[in-house]
Parts: sequence; C-alpha cells; structure tokens
Amino acid sequence: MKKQMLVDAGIPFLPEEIVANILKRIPVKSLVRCQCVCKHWENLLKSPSFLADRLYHRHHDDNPSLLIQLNHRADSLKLCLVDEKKRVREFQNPPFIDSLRGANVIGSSNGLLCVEFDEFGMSPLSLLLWNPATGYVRKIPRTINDFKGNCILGFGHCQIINRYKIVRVYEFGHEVNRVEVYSLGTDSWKEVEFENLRGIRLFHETITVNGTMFWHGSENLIVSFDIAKEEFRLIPMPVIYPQALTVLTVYENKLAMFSTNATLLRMKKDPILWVMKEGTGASQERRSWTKKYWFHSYPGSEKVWGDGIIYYFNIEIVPRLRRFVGFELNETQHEVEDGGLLEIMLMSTVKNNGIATCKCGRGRHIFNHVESLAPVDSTHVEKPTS
Amino acid sequence: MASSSKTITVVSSDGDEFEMTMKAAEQSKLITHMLDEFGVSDKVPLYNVNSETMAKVMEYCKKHADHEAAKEEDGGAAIGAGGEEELKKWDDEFLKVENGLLFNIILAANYLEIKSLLDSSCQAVADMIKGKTPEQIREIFNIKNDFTPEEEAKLRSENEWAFQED
Repeated sequence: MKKQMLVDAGIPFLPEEIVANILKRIPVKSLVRCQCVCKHWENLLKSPSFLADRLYHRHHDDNPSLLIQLNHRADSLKLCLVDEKKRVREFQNPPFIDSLRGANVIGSSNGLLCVEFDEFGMSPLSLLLWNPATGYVRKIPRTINDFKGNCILGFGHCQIINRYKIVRVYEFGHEVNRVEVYSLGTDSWKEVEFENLRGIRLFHETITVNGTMFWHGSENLIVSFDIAKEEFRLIPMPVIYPQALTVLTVYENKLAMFSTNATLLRMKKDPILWVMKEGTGASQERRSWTKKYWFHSYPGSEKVWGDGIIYYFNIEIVPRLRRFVGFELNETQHEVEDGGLLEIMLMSTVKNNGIATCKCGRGRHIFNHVESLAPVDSTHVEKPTS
Repeated sequence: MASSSKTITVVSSDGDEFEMTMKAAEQSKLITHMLDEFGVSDKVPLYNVNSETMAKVMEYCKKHADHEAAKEEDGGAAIGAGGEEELKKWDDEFLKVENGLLFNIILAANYLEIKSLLDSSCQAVADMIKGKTPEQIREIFNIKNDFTPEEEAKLRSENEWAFQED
C-alpha cells in the first residue's frame, strides 16, 4: 500500500509555515496585495510571528527607502518616498493625518512613523504612531499637559526585544529634569533614570540604529539610549577641528557622523564620514572611530543612503552645481519658495554619478524608511476614524 | 574520495528506488539523522516524496555534493567566486519547472530538511508572485477566494497604492 501525502497531479496544498517562508521574501507592495488573496493569508500576514520573522529575514536585504517631509511644521504633513530605484511616490495621507496641526515626523523605525502634532496648544506636543503602508494610526496617551520647557524626542525599534519605544526628554532652563519612555507593547509611559544627563543638553534630530537612539549633545558628546536596557550613555566625539558642522547618520548599520568645515561658497574641505565601531566587551575604550572619505563630495552632506551620500543644498547659492542637477531644472513648473530659492536633493555615489531626484520645500527632514506591515498595536489593530 | 563511493538507497512513495552517494545524502538533514539512527544497510523509506519529485531532489543533492567536493579538493581555488555564481545559475535553471512540481520540491525540501533547496525554491515562488494580482496568485496556489465582493472591494480601496502598476 502506497502512503501518499502529496497530490500527484495538480497543485499540492502548502502548509502555513511554507506559505510564510515564501511570503516573507516579498516586498511590501506585493505583500499588501497578498492580503486580498484569502482570509487565511490576511490573518497570517498580520500575525506578530510572521512580521517578526519577515523583519529578521529582510533586515539585510532591504535598502531602506527615503522618507522626506516636504512641509514645515505649520502646514499639513506632506511626505514623499524615494525608493532604491530612485522612484518618487507622494503619500496619500489618511484624513486623520491631514487634519493635524503643526505636524512633524520625529522618526521612522521598522515601518512605523512617530509624528508629533499640536493638540489644543498643550505642551509637550501630542504624539501618534502611523504605518503608511497599512494606514493604521495609534494615538499615544498623554502624560503632562502644561510643561513650560522644551522636549527632545527619540523613536526607535529594538529587534532583540521586538519593541517600539518613544523617549521624551524634558528640558527646562537648559537642564534635563525628567525622562519618560513609552513602550508600544504596554501602551504606557514610565519615568527612567537620567543621572548621566545632568549638565548635558540634547539637540533635536535623533538617529536610531541597531536598537540604540543617538542625539548630538553639548560638550562635544553624543548621547545614546539603549532601547532594550533603557539606559543613557555619553560618547565623546572623535577629535575634529573646531567649528566643524557635524551631522549624525547611519552607515552599514553603525552610527556615523559627517564632519565638514566648509561653507557652501568655499567647498574647500571634503566632508569626512566617521564611523563608530563598538568594541566587544564592557570597556568603553574599545570603541573606535574610523574615517571614510568620498571623492567629489560637497558640503551639506545629509546622510548615507545605499552606496551614496545625499547632499541637500540651495541651488541659487551654489550656481556652479546646476550642471550636476540635470534635467529637473529644465522642467517648466518649479515650486519656488520665498526669495526664489530652489532646494534640491542630490545623490552622489562613490563613482560620482550625481543624480537629482527630488525637489523639496524648505524645512525638510529626511529619514530612512523601511516599509513593513507592522501593526501599531501588538494585540489588536486600530482603524483610524475616517 | 573513499567515503563517497558508499551509496545508500532511498524509496519513494511510488515504490521506486533511488541510489545516492553518502555525500549527496548528507545534503538532507533528515536522511543523515535516519542513517545515524538506523544505519546504512537498510533502504530508507521516504513515503512523503513521489518519484517525479525524488528524481529532481536526487539531481539537486548530487550537484551540490559534487560542488562541495570540488571546493574541498582544490582548497577552494578551482571554484572561486565564479563557481558560486555558476551554481546559483544552475539552481535557477533547475527550478524552472511547472508549478505543481515546484511546490512538491518545496514540500520535499522541507520534509527532507535540505535548507538550501528550501530557500531557493521558496525564493523562486516569491519571485513568481511579485507583481501579480490577487486573482493570479490564487490560481498559482489553487486557493479559493473566500472574501465577499464587498470585503474585497473594501480591502482594495484601502490599499489603492499597492494595486497601481509599478
């Protein structure tokens, strides 16, 4: 008697674990279509185990896209996405997002965006988490409503514990006086220790890499926050010339920093990229910075993306760069900002294939964005009221 | 080279017998475990795999075993970077079969615990699905649509951007 588990003719039935093994290899756009195949697949694709598995699998595969915030804080949120093939796609915001006042993207991590916005003038600003690929939005509970000082925010995902967290540092009179951490898993805030931050100021624009958030700090320091351990650490910057402009970025999944000493007009010194390597072991001395150089680089280097660097500059001030911008400037319709200044994002690879890909407005922010179907709630998904 | 002259026999669900070298057999974790447990003298029954699929799996294991042997022999020099690419091309051609057989290969690779074959074949199906409509995907997997027309329309409208052409 032959024991046959497989159907000889036709298509055999594939068990769920195999379907998951196939689907985790598919980019998000196709994955969203797969949700419409049948109810079983729809549930599978939303399950936390599938999402975690997919994230782990694609962690090294995906080149992140670039998410660009085109508007300044006062207008409604205008975002566009530039994928690895340099195609630009404008976001259709759900109505909930479009009606926000003073919205600003804080950060993007593993598919979720953290957005701050003005709610009836309360301070600090309100927050929400949004996955543009699925459309789901989650409003973050408020804690303090009438803070008179300044808040620095950080948002990130830690793969090891599979948690999204938001960090809020309260600064009053140039001093940190409170730090709260929100965890998506518990949907609540809690206060954390911040002894190391005494006497240190943090600056906006956080970078998250490898389960750690980083900010520029005063006293030539970089402040880091370990998402899993919920601890702050201070990291001295490498020794660089004074008055250097430094921008934190990510290079090959490590913290990196551009330092440049040129003004837009002079362009004398090439920006240097410093990459931080953490040594294994507890000793902080094991940490080292290595320098990387790019040829034909320009000041105003913004971030590393794929195998190139993005430069962001004002084309009117640096007319000689027009020839690198190419066809985009020949278009008849340009959005010209106040004073007739046109701002351009230029990408230069190591071999200097300068490509202009995107016209951006003023007050822009650029984030690495990985599209994913991550839910804004690990237990149930919430739909925006539209 | 001496150990590779030893062969074992596996039996498909159709009752056909296939001979494979030890090195080829080592490509499958399941077969390796079974041989460890029960020894090499008996025929290994693989009742979850039919003959058509078994023949393909044998071909894969032999090719990859030969590739590994060649790597060890020349200290890796003969293979080089080009060799790995060539193997990948061979894998791609190898998997250009009709869907029914491809799915059976996936199931066999899963059952026999041949990780590289499982990865390649799953990736081949993933590449096939990319860019297809839900209806085309249902055909590939022979899945019935259990959404009502209203439910389906709602899903589509909520994710309009994903249904636009690339």
